Amino acid sequence: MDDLAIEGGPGEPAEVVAILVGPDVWRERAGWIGRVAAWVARGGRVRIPWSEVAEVGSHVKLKKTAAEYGLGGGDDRLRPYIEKIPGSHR
Amino acid sequence: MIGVIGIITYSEMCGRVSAVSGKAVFDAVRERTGFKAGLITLIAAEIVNAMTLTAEVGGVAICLQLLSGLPYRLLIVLATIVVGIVVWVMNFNWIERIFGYGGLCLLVFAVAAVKLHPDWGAVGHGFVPHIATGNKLLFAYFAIGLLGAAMTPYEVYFYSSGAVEEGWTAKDLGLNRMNAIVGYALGGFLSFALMIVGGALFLGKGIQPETLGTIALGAGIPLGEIGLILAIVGMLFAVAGASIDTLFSGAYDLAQFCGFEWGRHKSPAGAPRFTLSWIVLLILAMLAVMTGVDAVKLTEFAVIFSVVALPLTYLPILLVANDKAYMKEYVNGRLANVVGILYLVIIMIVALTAIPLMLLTNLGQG
Repeated sequence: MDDLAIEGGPGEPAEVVAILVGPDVWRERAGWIGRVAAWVARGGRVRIPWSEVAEVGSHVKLKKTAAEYGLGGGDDRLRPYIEKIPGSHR
Repeated sequence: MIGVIGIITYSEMCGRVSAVSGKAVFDAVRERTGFKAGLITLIAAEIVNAMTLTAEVGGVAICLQLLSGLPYRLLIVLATIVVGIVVWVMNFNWIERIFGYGGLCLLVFAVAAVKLHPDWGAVGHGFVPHIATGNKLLFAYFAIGLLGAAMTPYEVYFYSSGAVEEGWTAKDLGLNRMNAIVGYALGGFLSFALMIVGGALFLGKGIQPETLGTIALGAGIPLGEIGLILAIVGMLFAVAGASIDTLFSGAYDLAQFCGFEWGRHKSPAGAPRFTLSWIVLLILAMLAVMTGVDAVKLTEFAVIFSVVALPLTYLPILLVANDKAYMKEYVNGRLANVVGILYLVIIMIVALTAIPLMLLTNLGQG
């Protein structure tokens, strides 16, 4: 989880409406160092509605698998290359 | 001794956090220090990891050269390939067992220390904190170096991630405590043995044991050829094992910060970005050591720079270990908190003074 989307106008109660995930979020969070990190990581951002959150403890658990929300895309893109090395499924 | 107690305290703490909450140290670093400070800690940790790994790959090649007499550069490539294959092929438990048991050959230095019949009164006096040189700055520099070496951050990154790798739960807290105490106490014991050997053989004779070969002679002189071979084999396993710890540590930090799939309990294809991270780190270390950089000098640099990253590593561990929402009945007790806070203060002083002392003492040359 990289950030939270919070909504609420002046005088209204603030409400968490979504979780934001991905390197694209970093550029807004850490100045130039975040922009450099986001550029290096070259990922997008995924917005997961708060209604999809099943449990908040030491970890945030979602109702569906990560892949179903489009998370972990970087691993999926890299996997075919790693799989070409013998023994990659050991 | 001070460093060993510190690393036992914090390793036990971070192992407990991992067992109870499933969080490794870098998860906690990012969560508790915020994104920006976490990112700075990550960059510092990766630079120190890369320096340490470079020194260790060079160290493995030196040990292989001492055993074989083959050219150093060829052995750097061989060492890198062997470390890469071991990490690719072996599971986490086997890596720990093989390099842990192989490293026990270093106990030969304890036998050597006894055989050298040192002045035990002087040895005992050496354990009482005192300034053994007229140059107080130089003494402080070496004291910081020893503390940094004993509490180097990659150890807790690796230890806590290893706890997650092995699937520890609250039932394993006894094992955690035993591992932290016995493992680091054994490391401290071997350091004492090396210091006694060094003191008995080299101190006052104008010999600076600055190469791995000279250090191995510390076992070779009192115990002959078998002592020498056991010392070099022990150093080979210890340095190679440490290089794998450091390699994993660098990949763990990056993966935990960025939210990649991670762990050697998964196949390489099951955690592709984690796998690519350690492959890239290993190749970078090999290229760096091929430039001819002095592995022993680089180790000194890595230790001093790692000291600067200590507070941002250890503070989040202390905070999470006190968080009842995560830790429930397993939060820190009073003793762990008193010792933990005391060490945090020491770490902060050390972190602030490490670089100035390095400059003022001309890298410890006086």
